[in-house]
This record gives sequence, structure tokens and C-alpha cells, in this order.
Amino acid sequence: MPPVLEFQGISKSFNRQSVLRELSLSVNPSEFLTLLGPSGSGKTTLLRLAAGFEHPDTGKVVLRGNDISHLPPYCRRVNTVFQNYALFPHLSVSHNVAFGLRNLKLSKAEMQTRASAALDIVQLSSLSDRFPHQLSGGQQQRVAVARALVMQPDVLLLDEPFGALDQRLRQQMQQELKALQRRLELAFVFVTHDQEEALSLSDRIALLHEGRLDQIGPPDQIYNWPASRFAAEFMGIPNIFRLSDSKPEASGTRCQLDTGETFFVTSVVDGNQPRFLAVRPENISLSRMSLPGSNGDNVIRGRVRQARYLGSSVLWNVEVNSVVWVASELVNGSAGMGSLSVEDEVYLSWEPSRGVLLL
Amino acid sequence: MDMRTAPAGALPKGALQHNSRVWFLPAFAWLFLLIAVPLAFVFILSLARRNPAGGIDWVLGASNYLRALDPLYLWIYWRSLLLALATTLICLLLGFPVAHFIAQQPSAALRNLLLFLVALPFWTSFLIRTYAWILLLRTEGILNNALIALGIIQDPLPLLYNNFAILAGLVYTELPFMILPLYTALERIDRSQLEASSDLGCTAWQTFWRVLVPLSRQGIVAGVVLVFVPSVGAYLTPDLLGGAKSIMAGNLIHNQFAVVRDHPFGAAIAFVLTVVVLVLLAISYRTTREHAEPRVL
Repeated sequence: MPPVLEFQGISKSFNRQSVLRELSLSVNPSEFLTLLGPSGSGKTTLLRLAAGFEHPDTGKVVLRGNDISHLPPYCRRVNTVFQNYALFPHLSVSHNVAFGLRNLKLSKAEMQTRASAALDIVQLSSLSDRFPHQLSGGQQQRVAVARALVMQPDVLLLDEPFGALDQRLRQQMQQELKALQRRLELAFVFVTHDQEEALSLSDRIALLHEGRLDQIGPPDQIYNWPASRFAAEFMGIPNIFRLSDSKPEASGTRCQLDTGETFFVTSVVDGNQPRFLAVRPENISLSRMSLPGSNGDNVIRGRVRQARYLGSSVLWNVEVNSVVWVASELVNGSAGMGSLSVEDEVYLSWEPSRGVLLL
Repeated sequence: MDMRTAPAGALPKGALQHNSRVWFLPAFAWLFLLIAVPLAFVFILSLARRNPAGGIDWVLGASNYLRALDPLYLWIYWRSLLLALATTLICLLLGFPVAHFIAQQPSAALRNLLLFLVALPFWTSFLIRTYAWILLLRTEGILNNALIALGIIQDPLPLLYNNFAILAGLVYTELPFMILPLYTALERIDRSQLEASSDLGCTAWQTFWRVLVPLSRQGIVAGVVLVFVPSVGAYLTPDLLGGAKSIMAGNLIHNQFAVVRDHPFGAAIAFVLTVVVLVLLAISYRTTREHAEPRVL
């Protein structure tokens, strides 16, 4: 299927400050695509370009094959759920939802049918006569979603819609939103800086960095196989080490850290010399004794410096050659902090297939 | 109150309320002595009668009010009302775009500078500013000379001493009082609400009517009241810029006191004008209250 929305070589600057640089990206029909990145990465600008609040300096925004780069927002079959919801305070819930329908030149009956259907979808029919200030944050958000969905857009744009909600409500609304997106089979473009949110909701994640597309792929790929040092850091890998040397071998790569340790990893970086090695904490196991004949795993010895209890796991900071490695140990079921304590000498081991080489 | 359980820095509630009442006293005393008392005096005076010597006979009755309903005077009230309405409408039409433009500026420094410019005329005496309009509008005034020099007209236009001059003077004087409350209301509107309106298919014009106007209604009402009330009772502007025929209610009152020396009749007209303005204020207060804009979070 052809993409429903495409960004083709988009560049955009504000006051000579480059915000997007030659960025290309397509959104597939009925996919949940998340634009993930830190503040200043250009993700919100990209969303505003799709909505029509901004126009690209160069490049094109294409909706269902039509160049819409320079159409005003009111001519686009694209609707936005705003970060602060931007509900109209002078209108009731039902009038908020019906606001856009008046511009579609529908009959009164049809307007009512569509507005109440949209309110049903977000389960707010019973509150249709309330005003926005009489609603909770979660209810306001549902109104914002209904107000956009009622327009039957080709793509729904969501700009950090959970930012204003507390943790519990946020998780509930995330599940509702995901279920809604599945049911409607509508393309969602979702902006967030929260990597957990991105991982749990998305079909694909587009990771943005300084106005460029750093990496795009399904959540598990972004999580396990970050393609850059930035991606690895942003996806929360604390163990990223500079390499002083690396040699491709038959079944992988042998690499040496600045601090002297050598490891073997099964991945290969084509053509280029990898500059960093990254290993996720949960892929590193700890033990008091070096396991004999440990089937080719990479093993190093260090001393425990700090422990952080996270409930289902403990993060151990282990110092190896004056460099800190972080390893995670699952402690579910077992009581307390697990088997180790601070100042213990431990062995860290990880499988060669778990090492990520970065450029 | 148990001070040990009170959070640090919190004042005992009773003390605060007691104090705040004390601070209001000077304001109440001011209002009472300088507004309520004189108004009561004006009302009592309006019931008295002028004696032939120009003094006051304290024979109370409603005769002044009956006289105030004479068509001659009704015509003057009507003209005052129309001029004040026209002033208000023109100020609203001119003031809204200006206030919106200022509120849209992203830089706070620029917004403050523009607001400062709006308020700048207040630094000069009202009298001097009104005389400046005479220089602009009179037969050999700057405007007429410029138009003749440009060849647009042959003979000077009658710009001064008529309704046009009064209107120009009133609009000029009152415009800042429209712009400032409008700005306050427009500045509070969340920009994303205007974007949401556009996102939902509204052109700029539709957004103006469906979002901007309803959300700034409090500012519109405040501006209308602030412009209309002084305009309807204007005295100096029509006195200086208006002709003998374009007299307004304010001049009528002034004439009764200063020229004809019929203080009781002047008091009656003044009191009627005050009541009319109070009724209009009450109506506008109720409309704002009934549709009071719910503040969002």
C-alpha cells in the first residue's frame, strides 16, 4: 500500500536556526508512527508541518499523493490533538466536538449523528452538555480526540497528548488510545519525548536527532539495535564504551575498548570502523564466581560500587578498570536486593550476540 | 489556632481577613464622601426650584424632571446617545485589530513597547490634545491645507465645529480605553485554540467570529463600557470641537449651572444621565456575569 503521508526532503529554519534538515519519512496507512526525540529534535515542527501550521522551506508534504506543503490547515484532511487539548472554553463538549462539522456543510441531522458517534467512541456521551472546565484532564483529552476524529481525517496527529496527565491516568489513556487506533485502522502520528511511551504504543518509531531522522523501525528493533550512539543513549543504554580497535572476523567482530578489555560480538558493521560498543544492562549477568568454560561469553571482573533497587530488578554499578558498567538483575519473587552487596567482587558476562556496535 | 500545626509562613486566617477589611476603609470613605454624598446632594437639589434671582427655593417637587422630558432636551439626549454609540462602535472597530496585533507579538518587550505607545497620549494634557485637533481640523488647518496642496480639494472642508469634529475628538480620546481591556482579554487566549479552529476547517474570518470574539467578550464589554460612559457625558470635547448646534448632554448640564444658573434643573438632567449610565452598566455587568468565561485549568 502506498504511504498515506510523506515528508520528502523537508528543511525548515526559524530565525536562521535550522530545525529540520533534509528529512524524509513516510507514514503507512493505519499505522501508529511515533516521532520520538529530545526537545529541539524537530519532532513537533514536523507535526506542525503536517497540520499546516508551518510550511517547509524546502521539500514537500504529500498526503495521499497530493502535495499539500503550502495548503492552509483548514484545507487539509488532517487533524490534530493538541498538547494542552486546546478545547474551546466557551463551548460545551458536544459543541466542541461538532465545531469542525459546521465547516463541512453537512445537514443538521448528519452533524448530530457524527458528533454523537464520535462522543460514543471516546465514551463521553453522558457528559455532552458539560463545559471543558467541568471535566477532568483525561476527559478533556477524550474530547480533544473526539473533536479531531469527527472530521474523519486521513491522518490523526497527536502532540504529546499525555504530557499533562498523571502517571496512572496516563497509562490508562495510552491503552485506550492504542485500542482506538487499532479499531479505527487510522494512521496516527504521535509525538513524544518519552521512550517508554513510544515503545509501548508504536508500530514504528522514528527517532529524530537535531532535525534529522536518526533511525526508524519497530520498537523492538530500536530498543535492541540502536543504530547510533545517540539512539543508544536515548533508548537508555548506560553501557556505551569507546573502542580503540576492532577487527572483523568470520562470525563477527573482535573489538578492544579504550581501557584494554577485548570482546567478541557477532554483529558486523559494514565498511566502517565501529567507534562504540553498547550493551544493555539486562543482557549482562552477574555472578560471584567466574563460570568455567562459559561457552564463549564475554567475561570481565569488577567491584560493585552501588545498587539501585527498582522493584522488579536491581541495577548494579560495577567498576571495571575505573569504568562503570551497569548490570541489571531480576529479583522478582526473591526477597530483598538479590545475591550481591556493595564492595563485592563480581564477574560480568554477556553473550556475543548482545553487543551492539555503533558508528 | 494552634500555631504548631500551621504550615510555616501561613498567616492565621482571621488575622488576614481582619486586616484586609481595614485596608479597604480609605477606599470606601473616598467613594462615600466623593460619590455617594454629592450624588445624594444632586438628587435633593434636583427636586428644588430655581427662584427668579438665580438662587434656590427649597420647595421639593418633580417639576424639573417633567421639564427634562421636553422634546428639545430629549433631542439632545438622543444626539448624545448616538454620538456615544458611534464613538464606541468606531473605537471597537479600530481597537480590535490593534489589540489583536499587539497580543500576537511573540516578544514581550515589543508588546510592552506597543502598549506604552497606546498610553503615550495620556502624558499630555487632555486640553492641549483637544486644541491640537482644532489646529488640525480648522479651515486653514493642517488637514485642509494638505488636501488643497495635494490638489484633492479646491475649497477647505468644514471639518471643525460639527458632529464630525466631536466624533473625531471622542474617538481619539477614548481609543486607548478600548484597546487596553481588549488587549488584556486577547492576550489571555491560548494561541493553540486559534490553531485548533483552523485545524478544524475555519478560515481566519470564521475563527474570528467563532473563537476570538466569544473568548474576548469580557474585554469587549469592558471596553464598550469604558468608552461609552465617558462619551455619553462628554463635556470638553463637544464644547471645544462642536459648534453651537452640536450640543451634548454634558454641555446642557454645564449651561444650566454656569450660564442659566438654574442649578435644580441642571441637577435633574445630571441625575437622569447618571441613572441611565448606571442602568447600562448594570446590564453589561449582568451579561458578563451570566456568560462569565470559564477559565480553563
